[in-house]
Amino acid sequence: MAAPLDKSPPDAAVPIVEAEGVTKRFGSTVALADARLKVLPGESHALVGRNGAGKSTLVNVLTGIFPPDGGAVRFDGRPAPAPGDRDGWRARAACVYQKSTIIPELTVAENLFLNRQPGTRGVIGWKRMRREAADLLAAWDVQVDPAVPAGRLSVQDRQFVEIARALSFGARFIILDEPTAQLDNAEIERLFVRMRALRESGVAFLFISHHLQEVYEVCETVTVFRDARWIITAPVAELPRADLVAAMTGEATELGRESGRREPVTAPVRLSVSGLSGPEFSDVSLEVRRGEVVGLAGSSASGKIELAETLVGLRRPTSGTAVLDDRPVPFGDVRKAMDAGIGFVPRDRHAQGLVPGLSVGENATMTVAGRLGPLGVVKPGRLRAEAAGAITDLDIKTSGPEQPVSGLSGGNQQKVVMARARHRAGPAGADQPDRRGGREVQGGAARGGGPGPRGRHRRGHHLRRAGRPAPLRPGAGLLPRPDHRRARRRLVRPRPGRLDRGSVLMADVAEKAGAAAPVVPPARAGVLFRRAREFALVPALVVLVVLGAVVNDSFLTQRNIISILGASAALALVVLAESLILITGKIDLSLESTVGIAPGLGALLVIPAASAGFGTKWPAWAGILAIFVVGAAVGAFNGFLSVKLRLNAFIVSLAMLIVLRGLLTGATKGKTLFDMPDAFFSIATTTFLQVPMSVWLAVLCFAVAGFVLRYHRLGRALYAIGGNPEAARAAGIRVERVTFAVYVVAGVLAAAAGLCLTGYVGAINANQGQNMIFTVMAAAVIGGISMNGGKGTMTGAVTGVLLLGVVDNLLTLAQVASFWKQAIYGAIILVALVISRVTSGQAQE
Amino acid sequence: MIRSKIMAGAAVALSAALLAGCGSTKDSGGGAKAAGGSGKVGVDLPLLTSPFWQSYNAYVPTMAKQLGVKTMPTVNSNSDPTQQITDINNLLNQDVKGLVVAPLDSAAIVAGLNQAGRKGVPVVAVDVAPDKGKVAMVVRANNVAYGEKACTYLGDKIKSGKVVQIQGDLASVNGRDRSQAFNDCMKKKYPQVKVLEIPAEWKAEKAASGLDTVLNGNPDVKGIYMQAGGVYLAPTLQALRSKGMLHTAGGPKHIAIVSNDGIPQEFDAIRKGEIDATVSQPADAYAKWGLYYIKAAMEGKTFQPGKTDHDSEIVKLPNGLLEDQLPAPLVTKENVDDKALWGNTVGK
Repeated sequence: MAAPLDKSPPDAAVPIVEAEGVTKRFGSTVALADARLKVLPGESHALVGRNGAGKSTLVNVLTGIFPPDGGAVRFDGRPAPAPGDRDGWRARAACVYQKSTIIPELTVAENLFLNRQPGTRGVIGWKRMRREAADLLAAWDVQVDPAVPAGRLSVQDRQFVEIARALSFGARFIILDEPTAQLDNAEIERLFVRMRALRESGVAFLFISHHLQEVYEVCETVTVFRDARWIITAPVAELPRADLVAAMTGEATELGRESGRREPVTAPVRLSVSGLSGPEFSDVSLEVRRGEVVGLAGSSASGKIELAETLVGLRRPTSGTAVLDDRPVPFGDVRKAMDAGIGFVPRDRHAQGLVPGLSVGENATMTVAGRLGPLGVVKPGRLRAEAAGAITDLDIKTSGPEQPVSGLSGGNQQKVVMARARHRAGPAGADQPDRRGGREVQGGAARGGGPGPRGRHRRGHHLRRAGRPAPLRPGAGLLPRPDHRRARRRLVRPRPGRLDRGSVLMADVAEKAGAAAPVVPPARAGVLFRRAREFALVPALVVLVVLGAVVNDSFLTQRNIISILGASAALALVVLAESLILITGKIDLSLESTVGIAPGLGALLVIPAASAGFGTKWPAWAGILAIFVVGAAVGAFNGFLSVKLRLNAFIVSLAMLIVLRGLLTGATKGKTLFDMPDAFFSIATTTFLQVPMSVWLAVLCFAVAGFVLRYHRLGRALYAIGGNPEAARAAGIRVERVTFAVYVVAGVLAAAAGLCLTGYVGAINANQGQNMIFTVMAAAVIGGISMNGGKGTMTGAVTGVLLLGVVDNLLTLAQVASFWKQAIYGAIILVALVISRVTSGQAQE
Repeated sequence: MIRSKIMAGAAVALSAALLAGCGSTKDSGGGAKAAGGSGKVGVDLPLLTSPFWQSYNAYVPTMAKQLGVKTMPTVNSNSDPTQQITDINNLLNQDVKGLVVAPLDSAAIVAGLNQAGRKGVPVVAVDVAPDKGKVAMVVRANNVAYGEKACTYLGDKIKSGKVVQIQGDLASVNGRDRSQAFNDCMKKKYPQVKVLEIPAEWKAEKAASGLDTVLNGNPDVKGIYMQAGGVYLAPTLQALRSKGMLHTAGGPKHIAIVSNDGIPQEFDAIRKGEIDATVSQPADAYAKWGLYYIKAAMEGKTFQPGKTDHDSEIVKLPNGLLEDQLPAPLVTKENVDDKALWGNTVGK
């Protein structure tokens, strides 16, 4: 499969890739303006720029993922392939991303030949594939066994396999997106050796790195981007480091001079860590003074990340103490650590930083949701103002706080993560009660953009660097640093040794003073867009109602509308319960059984033994109370299994569904319970304004849930957890506690639904609620609640319930042939989904 | 669906365990012939969530004692035809010498019957006649007769106007037979009567919302036939009550209601005048004659079509099977207190 090597150097005059005047816009955000790039065969070309400079967008244009809005891309002097021509693009350019695209469960050979395995008629010729893989790897001198699962390879070998795969498609232009980020120094050297060898074979590299030292080490030419624009292209030899930094930042910077404000050594100690030990580090002692930036250096196995995560509350140490402003640091509780004034910028913005489905504003304010309004209410205006402040301060390139964060470029996403750490100053308070005066702890090597770095790699790129590097070795404590003054001196000229990148502890580092007052943009199209999605089913509902009125005179009568509502009340409550759970990223199938067992047990406690009761003869009110207690208990048990024991929610709730159903059958001996006191039925039989109380209950519950989900930090926490639980945890949300609470609330709601259903049918059958979960899921999902978590609104869920109710009512009124009713019912729902898709332009999840 | 698959999976696992457990004793039993008409009888129930089958379940040990038949504990297939096959296999593996099965599905039961046939174990089918396969006798009250009885009663009472039929699951034999018979009879004998349908799938909430809706569009409904009182009685009364349309029998606004099952709650409703009649499914007779015929089959007796000594008639079905069609009395205010009715002999 390896394309034969053309050892003769190709015509050096024709660039292997050339981009000219490329522009790219996302909505109102300009991601690239007049981007240029020219890479010659066999060249190693560096692409540098700060986060948000447009590097990732350019990469996506060069690999055919984004078609450019303007300008041209040429390969070997010929126009780029058509946007959809994946094979064409693959044969010309390939990118080895930071995030590996290797599938760990498959073997190296399978990864190399994924979806193009040698064989006949789809039957894979395993022997042949392994042989060809071995040939391919040998051709590029990659020493990896093609038969091992790719997951067992080191990060470096995976990179080599990805490069070999790219080359096997015929591409001779390889983009390396921060290839050294996860490598240690020896591996970096190996990578460079490999790059040089491949260049001799005519392979050109576009090398993206934040480590300028590497640029000078391995690249011949460098192109600088800034603020989505091309700034300069020059041979590295002709561009001194200071000029390169100036080109990147747009301001002349004197190298070697610290730009961050530094307090004198006499500044008071704010954070004092002594004898801190955990599974990954031991006996760490260090101090951080006010205004100081302390770097934690060491390889990723050194425990620096775990130390940082311990200080921010994500982990508990086994021994030792940390004191912040005379108060012990509250270990193991992110929320409390934040309250104490410790901020956190996670190492990996995808894993711990962002909730992709939420807006820029919500992500940026996730840590401060509690102070955007009274009693945890999140006022949209306050959120916008807060977010606008962050956007201005950190210069986030976005169309506004309402833009989904997933639409931002990588660098700007990182800034949003930075913004989360800008929460309030701790109780001890910074000198200036400025909100930027917080205290930040950065775990691991961030992609930069923010305060940062330490060690040689980052020098020059990050303008505020670690004042004091503190090396950390695996399992060992902090190296003794007896002479503080000597250490101080290094602040001025950091040690030129080979330190890997590390974590950083900062105290009260103020940004440059006099930042512009944030401009608060008004609520924008984003909101309308979201609304449109929420109301996506409304046009379909309107069509159905009009159709119904035409088909049947009785349809639009007050009486019939009340019938629809009455019939939908119980379903609505269960849909509400399931929606809350789905939004939190879980699923509970057993709600349908709770609908039966909660009122069932309540009734058995009340009705006489002659009617199959337990003979306990509780008063009616106690029985009804028991219904809710059972609901809460079932919810709590489900929550315990799924949250505390971390069992798969789907399987657990499926098992619970069967268990609870069986319990009800056993407790009732399968009998239908008839002889309940009237109180059991009153929720459905008593009315207010002619509408049954069950309907009012459902309306009330939806109103409260809708308000909480949109305007309360608890509600927003559900979306955050459902979207990215790790990010939610790092933002101080108590993920387990909130999820557990959601299960309990859902159990209570399902019990309430059971009571409504009991009143509605006047009895409790041993299979009450059976198969209801399918209808519940249908209503929730067509109402826009995502099965993947983190998405959906109460308005959507209500329209879903109403749609099903209206369709069913209509079919009964129209006396559609009984045998065909189900089929027509399903078909109408499909049509409704199509209508909503067309009218809102949004795909249903 | 998912649930039933899981249950079936569990049942398969269980049967595997049972197979392993019984392996050692399997060949030492001596076989059915050696036992010569004795040996244990396996009884399989289709479901236990209806009062009718609960009563049947309760009658089985009593009747077995009376007839001198030894039975295994009853097995509940929980509305799952797949599990029913597994259950039959399990019973056969426990060396039962006769089977009394109430098939959940007239077609899907054939695999189970064939298994029994291979082992030489006779089977009596209760309530549902298998489409194919060999059974010694089918014992059932005719579902077609249920529908016809309800039709005649309602038709005679109202002569013309609208009646509502709250149907069962149309994918089940019983639901289908009752619906078909009721509709055919109405069309033929009472053309003035218009039948409105609610396909409620044996589900209480579907009956409630369906009836609620139908009454909105047709406030002039004069009669209701519910195909399963055990499930539909409460929601029907509840819906009528909420609409202010529940009037006792004899009054001018009373809606005539015929039910089906014969459970004690229906009898109460008849006594109160809330409903007019119900077709009493003979749960006791099912148990009694099911066990009677299996005992006879184990002893090698055979039967011929014709009248029987217990107010019924054995007929030959088109597929060659014999069916003892048990009577299903219509219970009205006149005979509701009859002690012979099974609904009056069981507690609520």
